Amino acid sequence: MSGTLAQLAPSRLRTAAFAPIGEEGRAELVESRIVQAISAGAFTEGERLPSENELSALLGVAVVTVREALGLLRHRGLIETKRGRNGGSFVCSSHGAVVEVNARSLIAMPRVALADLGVHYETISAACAEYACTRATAEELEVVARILAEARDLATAVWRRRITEVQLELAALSQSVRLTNEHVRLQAEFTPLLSLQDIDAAARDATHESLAAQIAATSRGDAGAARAIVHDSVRTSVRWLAECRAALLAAPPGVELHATLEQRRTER
Amino acid sequence: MTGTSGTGLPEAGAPVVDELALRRAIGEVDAFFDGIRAPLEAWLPELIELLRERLADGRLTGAQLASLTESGAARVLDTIDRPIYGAGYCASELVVSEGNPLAWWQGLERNLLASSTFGPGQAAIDLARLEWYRVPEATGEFHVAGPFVDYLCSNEITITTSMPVLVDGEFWGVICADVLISSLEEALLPALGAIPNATIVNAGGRVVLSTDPDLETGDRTELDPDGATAGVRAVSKRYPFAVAAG
Repeated sequence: MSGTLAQLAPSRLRTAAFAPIGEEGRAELVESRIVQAISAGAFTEGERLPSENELSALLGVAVVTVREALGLLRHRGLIETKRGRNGGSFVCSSHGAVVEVNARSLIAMPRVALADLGVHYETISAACAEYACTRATAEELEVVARILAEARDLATAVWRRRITEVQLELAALSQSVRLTNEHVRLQAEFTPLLSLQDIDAAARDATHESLAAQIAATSRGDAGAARAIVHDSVRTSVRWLAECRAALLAAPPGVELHATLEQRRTER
Repeated sequence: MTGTSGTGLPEAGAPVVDELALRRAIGEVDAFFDGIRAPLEAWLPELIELLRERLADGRLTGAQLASLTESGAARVLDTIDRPIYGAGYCASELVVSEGNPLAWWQGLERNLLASSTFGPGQAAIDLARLEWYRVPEATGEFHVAGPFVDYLCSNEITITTSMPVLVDGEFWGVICADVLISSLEEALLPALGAIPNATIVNAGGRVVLSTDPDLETGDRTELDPDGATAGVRAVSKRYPFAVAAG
């Protein structure tokens, strides 16, 4: 009987082992890395990016790949390149441009992929929360709670950055490097989409309250509650994004993207 | 020693805890961290003098801070007999006006932490959440933070030793040296090895290293309010660590 196993078509594991280490699409990978960073607020308006040679060294790709990626970013209107003495590539990430990039990513993503990203993110976050329940100290949680409280009334873009930092800090309180790294990767993908909700004050408040509740549950050592809070928060966000996506897709041609998004705005 | 029978062997069921062994173990912990503190103490006056000179012309940018700090940090990394993974200076806003306040080198290649190479305006790290910055700033004293997941620098479980840079009563930031727990294991597990179920904990009760098979780095142990535990322990007088057994 064991002989028949050897004759089966190659398993997925074997195929994955020998899949080409992508030479194609590297410029797009570099582009999407920088797009994510820009839309996650890693750079400020007008900030100069490292030179082509520096980026090539930092990212571990050929200079020609960097050049291609910068061209793609210019095409999207996310960077401007100036020549001459004080030349270089500068991030022109007006809030509007960033929102547009994120909305287009949402539209381009199949709904099933959006939901699955939510599942992945929720699983890692919930696992970190569970470990934090048995590993975090009261002092560490007080510090995070204070940062969260102080962020409440900040301008939206700054608030989103603080929230993202709080989520990362909470993940790190699991004392697991692997889980924290996974969380960082997922945040890089998910945050640009999550930030589309920020136009809706009710959604912002819900996110904020959820984090406060998660910290409280963690302080009590209540892993079940912490996990449930993470689950509900992510599901709520995915639902908001799925509705937004549907509205964007349903918008009649000629209706500007920003107009459709504006319909989702609520104020306190 | 308690619980020995006439043969010198422990009575069945009686715990045997060697207080001398615990004190020897904490002595090893002290000696280890003395060797981390010393290069920082040696660097401090030199760095202060360099800073005083340069600050006469106004505050620095992150890039200027990095070039000023580089050779001092390299000398800390050169420390022999100690596995120092990363070293550098995190300046306060009295010193750096723009750019990255963290001038940090780490790893075998002694790479400058990538974010330092970015230009001005790099979204500011909120230093308040970092124990190795926040505590010396508040207390004005030397501190050892960790073990913790150092997602900012080493990306490993790390212990960061930090010394405040105090000039004329002003807080100018901290100089630090990182040791990875993986390196600490090599250095200190032998010292613990002789003691069954021995654990090094930090002041918060977090496990640093343990020979107890049920405990891993990062686990939380319970401390009584006055710092005593049920087991026997030896507490370091210089660093926020204790060795407990049983």
